[in-house]
Amino acid sequence: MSPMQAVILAAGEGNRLRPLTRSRPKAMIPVANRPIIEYVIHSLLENGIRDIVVVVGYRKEYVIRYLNQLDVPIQVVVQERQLGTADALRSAESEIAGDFLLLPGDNYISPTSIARIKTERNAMLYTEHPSPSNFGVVVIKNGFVEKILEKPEDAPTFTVSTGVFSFTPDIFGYLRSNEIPDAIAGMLADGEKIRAIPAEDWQDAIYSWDLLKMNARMLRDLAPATSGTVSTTASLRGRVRIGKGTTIGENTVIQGPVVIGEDCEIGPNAVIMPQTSIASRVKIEPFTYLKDSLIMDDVTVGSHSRIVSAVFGQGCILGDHTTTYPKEAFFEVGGGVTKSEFGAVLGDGVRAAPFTTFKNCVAGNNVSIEEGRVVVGLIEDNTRVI
Amino acid sequence: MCGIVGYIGRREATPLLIQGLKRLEYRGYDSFGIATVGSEIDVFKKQGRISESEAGTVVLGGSVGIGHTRWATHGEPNDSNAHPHTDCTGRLALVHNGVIENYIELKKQLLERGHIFRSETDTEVIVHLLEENFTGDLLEAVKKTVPLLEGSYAILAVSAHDDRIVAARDCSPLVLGIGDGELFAASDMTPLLEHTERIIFLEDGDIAEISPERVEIYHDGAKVERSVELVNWGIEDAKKGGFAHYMLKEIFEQPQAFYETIRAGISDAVQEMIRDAEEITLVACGTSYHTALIFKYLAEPLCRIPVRVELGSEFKYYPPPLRGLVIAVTQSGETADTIAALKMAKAHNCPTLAITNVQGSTVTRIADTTLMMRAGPEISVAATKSYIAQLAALMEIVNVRCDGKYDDLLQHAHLAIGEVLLQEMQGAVALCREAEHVFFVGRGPFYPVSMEGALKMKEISYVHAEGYAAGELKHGPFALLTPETPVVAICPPGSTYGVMISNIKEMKARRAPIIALGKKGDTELAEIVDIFIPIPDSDPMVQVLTTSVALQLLSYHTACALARDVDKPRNLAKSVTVE
Amino acid sequence: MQCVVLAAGEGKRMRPLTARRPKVMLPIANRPMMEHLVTAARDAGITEFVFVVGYCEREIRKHFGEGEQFGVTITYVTQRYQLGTADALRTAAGLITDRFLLLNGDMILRRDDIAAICRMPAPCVGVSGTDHPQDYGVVTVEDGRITALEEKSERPKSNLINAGAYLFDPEIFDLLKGVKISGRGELELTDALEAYIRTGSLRAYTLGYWLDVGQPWDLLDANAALLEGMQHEQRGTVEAGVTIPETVTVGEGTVIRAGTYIEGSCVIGENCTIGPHAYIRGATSIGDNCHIGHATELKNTIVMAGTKIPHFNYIGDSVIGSGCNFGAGTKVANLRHDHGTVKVCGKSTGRRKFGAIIGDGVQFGINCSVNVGSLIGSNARIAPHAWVEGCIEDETVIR
Repeated sequence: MSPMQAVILAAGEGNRLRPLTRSRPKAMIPVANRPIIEYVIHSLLENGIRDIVVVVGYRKEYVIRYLNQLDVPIQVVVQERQLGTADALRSAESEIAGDFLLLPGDNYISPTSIARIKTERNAMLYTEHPSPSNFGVVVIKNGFVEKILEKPEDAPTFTVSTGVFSFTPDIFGYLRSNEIPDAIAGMLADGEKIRAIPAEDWQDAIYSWDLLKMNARMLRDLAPATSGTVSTTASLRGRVRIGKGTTIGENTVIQGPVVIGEDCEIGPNAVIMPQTSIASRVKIEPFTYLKDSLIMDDVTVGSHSRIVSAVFGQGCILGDHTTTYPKEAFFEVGGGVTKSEFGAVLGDGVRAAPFTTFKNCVAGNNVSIEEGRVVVGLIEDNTRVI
Repeated sequence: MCGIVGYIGRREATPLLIQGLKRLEYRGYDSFGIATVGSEIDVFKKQGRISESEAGTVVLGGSVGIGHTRWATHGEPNDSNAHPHTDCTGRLALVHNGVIENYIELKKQLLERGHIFRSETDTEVIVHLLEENFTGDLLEAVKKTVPLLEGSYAILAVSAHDDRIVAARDCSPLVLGIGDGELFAASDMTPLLEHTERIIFLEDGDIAEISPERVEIYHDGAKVERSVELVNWGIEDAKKGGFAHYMLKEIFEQPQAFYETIRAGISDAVQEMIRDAEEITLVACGTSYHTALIFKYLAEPLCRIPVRVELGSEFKYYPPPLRGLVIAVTQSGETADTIAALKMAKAHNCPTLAITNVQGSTVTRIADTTLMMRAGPEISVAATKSYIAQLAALMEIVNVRCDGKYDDLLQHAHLAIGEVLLQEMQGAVALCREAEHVFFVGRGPFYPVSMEGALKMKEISYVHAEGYAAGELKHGPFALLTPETPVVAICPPGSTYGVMISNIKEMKARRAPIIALGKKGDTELAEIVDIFIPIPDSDPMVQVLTTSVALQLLSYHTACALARDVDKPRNLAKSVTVE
Repeated sequence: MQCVVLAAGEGKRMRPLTARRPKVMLPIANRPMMEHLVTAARDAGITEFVFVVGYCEREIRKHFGEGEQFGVTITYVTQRYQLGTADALRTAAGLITDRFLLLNGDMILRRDDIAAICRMPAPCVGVSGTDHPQDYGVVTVEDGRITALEEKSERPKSNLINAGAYLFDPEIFDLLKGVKISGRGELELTDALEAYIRTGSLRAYTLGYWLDVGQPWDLLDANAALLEGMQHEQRGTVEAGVTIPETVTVGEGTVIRAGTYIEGSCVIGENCTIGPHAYIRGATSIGDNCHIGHATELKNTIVMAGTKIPHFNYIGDSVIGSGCNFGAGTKVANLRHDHGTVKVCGKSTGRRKFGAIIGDGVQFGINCSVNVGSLIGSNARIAPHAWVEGCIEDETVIR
């Protein structure tokens, strides 16, 4: 038997995560400092699956660049237009020789989950979710899939598809529309059996603020390591990982789990509290407090800021006394209204002058804000707040 | 005439030579050939590039051999002009990188003495001279032959019934790799690195006798020792991955190339050299010449220092007065013209600095100090990330002269480059692909940016393009403007904005379609032009970077639309090691 | 008979100790692991060696030279990229003329086992029993023939493992040509053996003794085992007032100064200065040119060459790289308060007592405290009075 293959779909933008998907697809959004797709690849490798095909499309150059620098060779196929998941799978058909796994590149799936499905033919991983209407809801009978309802208004059950399937090459005969669930329906109609297997751990971020929860989950598995230059008066407790070239200044307190990338400058006198990820070349100025946040590359946060429950895109420059203020509010995203509580989600290149307060705010890419403003709710890309 | 390799040892030479030549293809790919020594000398040579031809089917026996991949200088690319060349008897074979300047005279003499020439190359004279000097000892023959040659050469020679390769170099690069019971020779380290980490850099005037177990090196008739350097390079992981072309991959690596170069900083010695300079002369060729010109436009007003920029190819014959700091800018570190100029500067006791991307390259060993760019290996013939990394190094020099005033700006500049990479180009590409001629215009530092834009357009899309200072267009080239001649105008905000707008209106009045690069949100500009390409608002120094990248994308997509061979454009080689 | 020794890999699991040397050059009882193997093979009658080297090959070449010192001849071949065991062996093609022995360089065997395996009909694989077969490739054997080779797995089918010692005829080189990239992404020698297994021609030889070092802390057990069995010899100068049993080896040029008390089985290299008033116990190996000074206690520890532990230090159950310097009063703890098993970077050492793994060139200020299970990368610099724990990467500065 030839070794199992895997197809990872990473072509879609994931537009509900805007503004964070302007320069990268959802699969490339860093969570605990690694793109989501890296967790998927890692889980496959843990299971000895090395023959991996990734379907790229939206902002493919970034995905390919990232995949090329991995230790394992990854086969890349391009989906020219993002028509749907079945179309994406079709573009990988020429690379598939036998049974294979199909996985979404923008969800976390644990190695144990993959171990449960990798020896099956025609099976899917499902999980329980409190708000199933955002997903494909799966009706299961006697351990087999009875039907899949795509994002139904009223879900009959809480079991949803993780998008992880084990298929035989026969699936290609069912790819008549552009969506995988249609193909599944076709298989079921032909009397094919699809085993339903519970996933051990699976995480998805539907909205940008859900990344914070995913970040906290991924930080649980963080391997602690210290690198760079660390002051003896800095206090590092719990699981803390610090990258090369980073400087941790005097009296900085870091309470893990916290990950900090390369070439950052933290403190002196900064406080980094649990569930925080800080990527590379980030500058956290003195007396700033961070907690439950996800900070991407090249961000600067000024002195005396208080950043809680925030996602900052690449290259944001925030002046001193920036505050993010988590408050529960209703959001209209993609036609629906959803309730959430977080401080701020900032796209790439947001600039805020000193004394800006973000209150439950989603600010688009390259938004600039004049000093002392309280910014609330959704703000479009390139807006100037004066 | 560009890349040479040699192997001697216990393994089959042919596959090793072919593999080595593939790694050197960036130096030229008009034709290739190999020769191996069995009891006789067997030669295989062919027009075209190795990857295209039936390289796998070349079967020449023997564990001693030499190979060559060619970029034609003398004689068109065809089978008979391909190296290796053999003498009249077929006992000697030779590969050569460089140019023999007195070959016409030598050839005349050799013809008179009855030699039969089978190619139009300058190289063939060397092998016939070897034949005349050959009395059974190849080393002696080479020793007698090289003094007769004028010009530049790196040669590898073999003779029948002899388990040796004799190598010689002068003004062309040649390095040796020492293995276990085997030796390798090549124009640069790339083909050697997969076999050994022990490298000898030959020096000008060296003659080396290479056998499987040892190397003996002679200089001016005396035996000399050359140190064995240990290089700890991993194999350069130059995978194209899923990218359609290396060029696109390299375009997308530019934010990193810029950042890494800035991050690496400048050593104290180089800083001191820069601060002490009273004037600066830059020597460069091709794309590097454009980065040097940009430096002039940035450094003169910002650092108040006189800057002269010279083409390497002109320098040698029309040397400028040599004073002050001389900076050689060359991606490969092997550009023959630039190196020749640098040697002259050294001879005039000027402090010399090299800016290059290749550690251990010839230029680094000639210049007093080196400022490394951190672009990583660039495979595509069209320079992109090395151009950006050169600008990073040169901007860092400006920054040093300005006491770190631009630290913050340079540290964040890679983000703006990343921003431009998201830019769509369809409209502009549609105009350019239909055009026979395209003009690129700009003012100040954007004048050399437009020259570089035009160079890229010519180089990879084969669309004729010219870069002009925007104000100069009306002194002649206006006559060429037609509705089919697009003009790419770089029009960022700043002191020249108003006059650029009037230039654009003048061109518009001649019905030329205008593609303008301007500040994002510049509606005034967007309204008067046909295609508007927005560039993030930033300092002029950063705009130099962003507009350059936008023009690379324009050329790249135009070339793709015209189905050109983007990574290996016709008639070009990546580093030109002949004058 | 010729013997090919595979020594090209780094041995990543031994980081940071492999920063400047391959795993096979890590010292056990003051000799590189591979030297023990090579001398055992020599004593079994093998005189002609081919070393397949790669990562930090200079270290191997420098140490073994052409083999004169060991009474053998050594030819080297370089495997530049570690693409797997099949590829490694392939680089030796052309140098092998007859039946030959193939040994992984990172294990220790006894002379009689090597001699016995050489007397077997080829092809033959050395196998060894172990109580943790899940860490190795497992073999199943029937009537002295190998019936299956299995990759590392959670539920191994037997407790016999492939020890990495083989006897082959040159025809193996033809089989190597057919090897394709495996599920692990390597060219594996074991894939070439499938043909032999199918025809039932692959024999098994059960090794009487086999010592393998998988993790850095396994060096301590291997060190203890070899110190126990070795012939001890004392050169150098031992001042009056030193307590030193016969179970201690002292190298040329070493001075052991008054008040020093040594117990257990230890080896001290050449040109060291020990004491005054040093206390060395357990199975401790001290490399050449080390300084173990006043009121310093070393217990059950490996100290590589050129390291200075000069005053008021305590180090227990640790592996210390070369060229380190310990400030006065710096100590390494080796026992948890709850007496639980010590973990290093999240991995259990299986040991209740374990100190730290410290890479090459690490510099400690005075009075640093290194917690149990710390791993400190090469060239880290630690400020005075610092408290160090966990996983510290190469070149880290704590200031």
